[in-house]
Amino acid sequence: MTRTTWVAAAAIPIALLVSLGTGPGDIGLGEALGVIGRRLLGEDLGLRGAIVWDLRLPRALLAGLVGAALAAAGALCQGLFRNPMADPGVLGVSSGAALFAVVGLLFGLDRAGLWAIPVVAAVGAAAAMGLLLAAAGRQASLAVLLLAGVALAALCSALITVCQALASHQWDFGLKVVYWLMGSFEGRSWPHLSWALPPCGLGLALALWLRRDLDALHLGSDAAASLGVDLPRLRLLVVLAVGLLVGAATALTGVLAFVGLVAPHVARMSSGPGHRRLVPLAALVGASATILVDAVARSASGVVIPPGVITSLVGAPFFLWLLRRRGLRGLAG
Amino acid sequence: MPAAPTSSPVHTVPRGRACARVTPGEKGSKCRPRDTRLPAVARGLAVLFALSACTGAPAPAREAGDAPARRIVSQTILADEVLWALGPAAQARVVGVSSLADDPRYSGVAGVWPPAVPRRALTSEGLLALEPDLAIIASFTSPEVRELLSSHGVRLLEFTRFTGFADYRAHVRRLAAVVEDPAAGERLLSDLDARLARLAARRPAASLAAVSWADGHAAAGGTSFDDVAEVAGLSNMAKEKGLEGHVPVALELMVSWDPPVIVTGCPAPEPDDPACRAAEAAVAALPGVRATAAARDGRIVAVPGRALASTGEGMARAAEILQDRLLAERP
Repeated sequence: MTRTTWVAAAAIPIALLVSLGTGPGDIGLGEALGVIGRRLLGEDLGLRGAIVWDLRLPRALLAGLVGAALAAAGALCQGLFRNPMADPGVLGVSSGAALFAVVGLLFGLDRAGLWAIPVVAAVGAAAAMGLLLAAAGRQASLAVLLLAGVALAALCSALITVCQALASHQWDFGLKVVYWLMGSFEGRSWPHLSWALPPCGLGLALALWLRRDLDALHLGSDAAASLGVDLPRLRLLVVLAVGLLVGAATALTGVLAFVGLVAPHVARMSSGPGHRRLVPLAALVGASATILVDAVARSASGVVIPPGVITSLVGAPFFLWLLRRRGLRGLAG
Repeated sequence: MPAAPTSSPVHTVPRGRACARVTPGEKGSKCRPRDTRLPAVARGLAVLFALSACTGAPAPAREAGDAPARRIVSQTILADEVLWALGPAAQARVVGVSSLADDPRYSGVAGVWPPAVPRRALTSEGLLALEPDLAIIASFTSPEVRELLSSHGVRLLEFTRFTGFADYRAHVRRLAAVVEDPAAGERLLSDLDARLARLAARRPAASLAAVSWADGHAAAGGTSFDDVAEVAGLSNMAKEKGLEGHVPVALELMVSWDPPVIVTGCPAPEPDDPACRAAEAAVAALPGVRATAAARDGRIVAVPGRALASTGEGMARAAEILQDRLLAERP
């Protein structure tokens, strides 16, 4: 691990501490740490314990996991398409998750339990990924894959709009859809974290495993093939990894914009274009940034500000600044 | 008889300043005189500007006041409910109700209006086809629909305040005046007063604090729930925290208040519906909620949405449901 990677790794516990000490529940960092310590010893600490143990801690950990997943997926997409503008949404997986979640909300499945919408959204992500692979075909070029993903995302967005139009008289449905599409960690706890861990863990492991092949692809398709990279297999595995990472993240927290686009570029400023260092660094940057964004969202006031709004508000100007400073070629590494 | 329009919406430019009469160089003129030579594109733009200037600003939506109406189309659930409750004479004047009138999750008159009375969404053509002389519109009715209705001689009546029983009384009286049956309105309000008196008699000596919370939002001061809580004998925690209106309240913040009672809505017509038990269980299952006094004492109460979200008679029903649940559970 390089020094930059160590610094990025150290930023995560710092971000976690900031997050644990932040929230409308008026519990400072010292008390929060004390609660966690005593909870680990098996004490039941009542209301304040519930606020720290059931709300803040799992929420912060989930934010870190989701941020890492989106950032790693972004790095994979930018590497696969050799396009600095590619983000995880480009494959349409998050749109598929969003569509199924909206349909689930439309039919009131959210009343079945906390698990219902994440499960439905995960099915949507898997369906979108399957459709993408079926539409593009195993031997499809990168351009065909990219265009199929864009078309799929557009189709899902259109169907979401149809759902909203058909149910525009149900104000509570509209409110739920808007909040879900803005992305949120509100009310996420240990069950959500346990549901996110297997797909995100598998996706992150796949992402780390694919680093060398993506480095070869950075030299061009022909060069990668001459170096022994099985390009159709690489495309399939990247799509699978992105599907797992983005599908799980979106299913559990809604749509978080810009994390998957900006975090890899921030990491690339230090790591350079090589995926061997880029993918883990991007995941670390995405994790700490998302934890901090959620902390900011909760500290701004006692009311709910969706972190997806903050990632867009911060991510878009930052990306413009980066674009102006380094140019498109600079972003591409 | 419908009241005569106060002004024509398409002739707001004073006659003496009509485009054709504007003299060259007239100060403040929005219309360019003919003898000014301009390139073709600029001339086209000038014509467009001139036409828009001649059309003028849209006329403000006219309020119906309390003038009587014979063909009424309602576009709000509150008006659907009140017009039905005012009795046969009022019902006979209604030519259309809102598309939500039959939705049991929101409406207290679901399935009550005869099928012959059209249910209409807020489209200008659909509303105009009913040939109403009065449209009771909603706050979210688009300015285009308002303008179109208004320009076709349809008077508009909009209720803008829905903050409890006082506003409800005012709305009932206005609608009763519109259907020329003030006595029916007073009878309706007498019934309400009797129910409120029964609620007051059952009110516990010491009020319980309650928060009305659902999907990250709480009903604070200045909401119908605030009045509901008061007549039921509860104190509204969100209001006591200094909040006003329907405001987003994070789950952590709500849990940190440690509310003795959590009131939430359920998509069912009656409180004994399994959907209400499911809604209570869903709130109880949210992280952190199990540690609150409300969860410990079994005081998470789901009230049917058509009562909890009501701005009409349903408010009294919501208070009755809360009293039934909370008083029955108290020693």
